[in-house]
Amino acid sequence: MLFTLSTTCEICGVEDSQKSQCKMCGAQVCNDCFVKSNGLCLNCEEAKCYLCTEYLASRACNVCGKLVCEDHGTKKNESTICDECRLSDK
Amino acid sequence: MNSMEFHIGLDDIDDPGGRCTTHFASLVVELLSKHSVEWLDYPNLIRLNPGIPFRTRGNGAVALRFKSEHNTINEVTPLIEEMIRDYVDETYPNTNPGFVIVEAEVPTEIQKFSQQALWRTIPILLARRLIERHNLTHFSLGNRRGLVGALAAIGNTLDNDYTFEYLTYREMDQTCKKRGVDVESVIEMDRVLGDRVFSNLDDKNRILIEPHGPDPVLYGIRGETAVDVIKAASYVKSAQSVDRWMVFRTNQATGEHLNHYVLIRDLRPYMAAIVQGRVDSAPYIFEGGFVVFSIKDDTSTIDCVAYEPTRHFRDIVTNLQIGDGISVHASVRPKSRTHDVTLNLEGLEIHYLSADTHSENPLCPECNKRMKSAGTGKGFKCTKCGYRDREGTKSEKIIERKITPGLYLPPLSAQRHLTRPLSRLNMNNSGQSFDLVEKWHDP
Repeated sequence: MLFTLSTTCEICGVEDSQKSQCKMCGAQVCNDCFVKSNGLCLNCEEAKCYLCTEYLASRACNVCGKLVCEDHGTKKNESTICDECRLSDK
Repeated sequence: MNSMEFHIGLDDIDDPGGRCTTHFASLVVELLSKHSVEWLDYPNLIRLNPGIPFRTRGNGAVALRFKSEHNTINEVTPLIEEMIRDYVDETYPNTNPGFVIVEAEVPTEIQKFSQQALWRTIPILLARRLIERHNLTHFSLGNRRGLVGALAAIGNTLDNDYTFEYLTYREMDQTCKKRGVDVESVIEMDRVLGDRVFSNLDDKNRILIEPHGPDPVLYGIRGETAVDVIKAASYVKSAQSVDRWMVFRTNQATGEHLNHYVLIRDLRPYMAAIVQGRVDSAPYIFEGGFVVFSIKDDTSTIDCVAYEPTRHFRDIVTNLQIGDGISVHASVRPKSRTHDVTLNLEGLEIHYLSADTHSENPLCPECNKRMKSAGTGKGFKCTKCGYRDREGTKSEKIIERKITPGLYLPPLSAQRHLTRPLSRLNMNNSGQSFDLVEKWHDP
């Protein structure tokens, strides 16, 4: 089926005429699914890189478990090590 | 005493160093089986959006569905909570177990939530709101992310296509040793069972049923019915012994995550989507072996990437050319400092191919050698015999393309658990009733 954006919140599906746009992913979300302090939707708030907070994460670090973006994690086979754990290991 | 219908959802009880949500589910089944429950279904292994960054491995959650008395649930709930605390590796900070119980029929709202979890990202808060609204018994640790998968597993009652997996487990203190699954026994199993089982071996007869990580799974056999996978397991031999086994009904190999065609404009990070368009830039192979090309639809343009492990699939991608009409099966990779939002390819449908033409100078009528241009507006000349043709024109030659329209997938070893393999293209168990076989788990 063709997915088209509707007038409802992209996260919870609630009808809200006062939707806000997430500055990271562009999603239109209702007030309950929007973090006003940083302009992010709940999804991006949870998925952002813990080191730079500028980009969304690609995976969780296999050592500390925190989410990191492609620039702050090194992939080796199936595992990812964040820059912080990599440097502390050295 | 009145028996009630219960659905237990479990998720995120694993970690990269070992442990596994399905293994934990087998321990819960063992516990519940001692409490005279009436099983309504095999344990459901529900694979959720494979593109999200929170997953440990294959983003699988489990739902257990049974009838029982309230007393039983009251009795086992604290026991399961205790089991979770004992089972998880508390030294790994990203294990966030979730355990949810739904009584009676699964509410429509939870079913819809589950459909979203197949292809979108779902925040923890949304799961918590739903749990609160329906007043559900639940338990969670860490950041509570496991509640998302636990609810989503409950909400997917596998009413569409489904398959089965027979999962065997080794003892927990043996997980750092080699599994030693015997290749010949898997080849024989695959030969005997034919198309009743799938994705056991790759095209070079390398076994795919054996994981490589330190988790408790010894091997898993995927097939069309519970009877098929149980029979298949009787052929498989391994160096390590089977400590326990269980049959799961699952949405694996059904392609259930790829049900939405999405315009490029509407794509969001981590989405699993089908994007239809025309190839807009020719594929380019980068150092490291990945191939990048772009596609365009009426709303925008986006880069698509096929990675090195996809081997033959990557060769197909390399032969695309501008103007080809395609649909890509993909997950949306968020942008980074070095690239914009891109599509990670999981599959490729070629609808039509653009003509590949090559323009040629005319042949010399005297010596049959291809002539050269004599300059702008001066026609052509033969460098061998000196013949000149002022009226000659270039001709267009159609070059045969190396690819043909059709569906292309990466090799089995690089496919997602949810990907519908080519061997299942014409298989569909939707609407097929299933009975619980007498023995579907041990212990």
